[in-house]
Amino acid sequence: MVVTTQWLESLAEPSGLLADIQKIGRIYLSESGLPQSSNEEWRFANLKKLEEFLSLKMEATNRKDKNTTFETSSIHKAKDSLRIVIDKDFTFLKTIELPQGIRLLSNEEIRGFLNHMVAEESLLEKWQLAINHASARQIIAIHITNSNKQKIELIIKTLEDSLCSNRLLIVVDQKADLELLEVVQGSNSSANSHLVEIYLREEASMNHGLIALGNGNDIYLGQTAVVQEPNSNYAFTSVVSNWKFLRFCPSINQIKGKANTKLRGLQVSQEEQQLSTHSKMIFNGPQGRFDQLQKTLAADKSHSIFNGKITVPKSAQKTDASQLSRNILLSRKARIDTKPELEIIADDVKCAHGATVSQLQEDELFYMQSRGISTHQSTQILLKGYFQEIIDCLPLNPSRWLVIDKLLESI
Amino acid sequence: MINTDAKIILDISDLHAEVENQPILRGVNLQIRAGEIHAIMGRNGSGKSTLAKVLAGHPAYKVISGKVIYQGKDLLSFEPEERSRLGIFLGFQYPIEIPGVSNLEFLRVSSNARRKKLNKKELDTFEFEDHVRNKLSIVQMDPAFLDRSVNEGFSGGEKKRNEILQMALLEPEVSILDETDSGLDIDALRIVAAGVNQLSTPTTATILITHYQRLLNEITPDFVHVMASGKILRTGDKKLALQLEKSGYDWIDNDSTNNDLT
Repeated sequence: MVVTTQWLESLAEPSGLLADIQKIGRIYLSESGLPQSSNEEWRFANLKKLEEFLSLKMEATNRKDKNTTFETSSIHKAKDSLRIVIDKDFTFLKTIELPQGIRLLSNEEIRGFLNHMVAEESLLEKWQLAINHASARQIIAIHITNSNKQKIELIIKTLEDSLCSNRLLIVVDQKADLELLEVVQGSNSSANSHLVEIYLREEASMNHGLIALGNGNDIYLGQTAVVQEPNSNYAFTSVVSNWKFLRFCPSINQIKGKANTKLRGLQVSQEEQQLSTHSKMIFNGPQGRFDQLQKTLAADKSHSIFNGKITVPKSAQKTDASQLSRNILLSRKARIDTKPELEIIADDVKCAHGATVSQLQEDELFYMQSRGISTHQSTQILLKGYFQEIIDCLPLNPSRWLVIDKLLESI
Repeated sequence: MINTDAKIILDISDLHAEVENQPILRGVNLQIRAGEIHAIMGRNGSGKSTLAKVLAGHPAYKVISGKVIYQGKDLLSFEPEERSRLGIFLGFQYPIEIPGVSNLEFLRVSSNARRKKLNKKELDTFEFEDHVRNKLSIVQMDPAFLDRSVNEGFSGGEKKRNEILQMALLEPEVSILDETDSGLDIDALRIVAAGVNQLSTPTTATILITHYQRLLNEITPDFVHVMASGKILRTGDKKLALQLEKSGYDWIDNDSTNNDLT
C-alpha cells in the first residue's frame, strides 16, 4: 500500500481532458493498493515487479533530457501509411495534415466515447486500467471515416528510468477499413502502461498488429479493448518479447454477436522474465465467430503465462469459436502455465479449444542435423518456422522491423 | 558394380549398439567398396533401421562397442551434421514434417553445408533455385513442393521423392536408404528407384534397407544381406533376395543359433 500511496503522491495534479478519469483511477488505486496473488487473475504474477513499476517516476514533460534507444528513422515507412511517432507532446498531431478519411476526434467526442467505453469496463483488467487512468495525461483519438483502406503505423518510444502512460482511442466507421501496426520498444529500466480502445461500427474492418519488444530490463502493462458491432471484422496479431515483466490483456466484445474476430499471439520469454497474456472474448449476441492461436516460447528460467477466457452467454447461440495454445519449453528451468477458460451457457455453439506444451522435437532436430545443419542452426530454423506463422499475420509489411531476427537474437 | 580393386568406403566391424538400455545391434560386420549397392533385408526388429540410424548418428542410439571407418576416418566420432557434410546420407523411412520451414530454404541450407565441406561455392537463394530446379527431374517432382513447408501435407510418395531430391543435392558418398520403398505405389517406386540408379556412380555406394524384393527388381544390388537379432546372418547376391521372397525368414530361427552360417 505504501508503494501505491507514494506513487500516487508523486503524480501531478489531475488536469486537462482526462482529469476526471485520472481522479477515478487514483481513487481506485488508493483504495485497492497492489493486486493480491489471491486474486485468480494475478495468481502467477510476480507482484514485486509491480512495485518496481510504481517506483519509477512519470516521464518528464520535456523528454529531450531523456534517452530513448529506439531509432526508427532508418526504418522506412510502410507504403501509403501514416506514421505517428509518440516521443513528445501529442498535440503535434493537431498541426499535421492527416490523410483524407482520418481525423482527430474532438474533445467532446472523446468524452462521449470514453463514457461509452467505460460501460465496457468488464472487458478491462481493473488494476491495469486504474494505473492508466491515474497516470495518462494525453490521449490520441482517431476517427476513420471512409471506406478506403487506411494504414497507420504508431511508434511508441519509452524513456530510460521513466514510466510512460499512453492512451489511444480509435473509432472505425461503418464499412471503413483500417490497418494499424503499433511498435513499442522498451528502454533501460523503463515502464509502459498502454491502453488502446477500439470501436468498430457495423461492417467495419480492422487488421491490427502489435510488436512490443523490450530490452530485458523493462516493464510493459498493455490492454487492448475492442467493441465490435455486427458484421465487423477484427484481426489482431501481437508479438511480445524480452520484457522483464509483461502483462498484456487483449479483450473483445461482440456487443450483438454476428462479427468475426481473429487473434494471433506470440510471446517469447528468456532469462528470468515473466510474460503473460490474458485474453478475453465475450459474445453478447448470436452467430459470432472467433479464431485464436496463441504461441509461446519460454527459454532459460523464464515464466510464460497464457489465460484465454471465452464467454458465451445464452444470447450467443450459433457461436463458432476456437482457441489453440501452442507452447515450447526451451529449457528445463523454464515454466509455462496455459489455461483455457470457457464459460458457455448457450447450448447451440461450437467451441473448440486445445493446448500443447512440448520441447523442440528431437526428431525434427535430428532430421535437420542429418542434412548437415548444425544443432544451433537447426534450432534457429525451427524457431523461425514457429514464429513465422504468427509474424506473417502482422499488417503493414512487418519484415521492416526485423522481428524474427530480434527474437532469435534474444534467445 | 563389384570391383574388388575399388577402395573400401565404409568398414563396419563388430558394431554393438543399444537404445534405452536395450541391445539392438549385436556385432554387425560389413565392408562396402566404392560403386557397390548393398541390400539389407530382414524381419521387423532385426536391427536394420537401427544400423541406419547409428551410422547417421541418431542421439537416441548408443554405440557400446565396435568401429565404423568411413573414408579412413572414425565415423562414430562425428556429430550427425558433420557425418552428412562428409558424405553420409540417410534417406528416412518416415521423413519428418517441419511446419513453418520452407522446403526450398531447408534444401538450400542443407546443400550449402555439404558444398562448403566440398570447397564448392555456396549458393544464394536465386542460384539455388536454378540449381534445385535442374535436379527436380531426377524424381519428377512438381516445383510447387519447393514452396511448401518441409514434407508438410506431402503424400508418402512425395515425401520419398523429396528424400531422393535431397540425396541428389547432397551428392553423398554413402547413401543409406531406409525402406525407401515403403508406402509407394508401383509408379512412384519406379520413379524413386530410377532416381537412385541415376545417382549411383563408381565412386559412391548405396545401402538399401528393404523388406521387399520388388525394390530390388528396380535397383539391382551387388550384395544382399540378411539381418537377424542385430547381426548380419547371411550374405549373398540378388538370388538370396529371390530365395527370401519364396521361403520367408523361418529358416533364421534355426540358423540364428549357429553363428558360423554368416
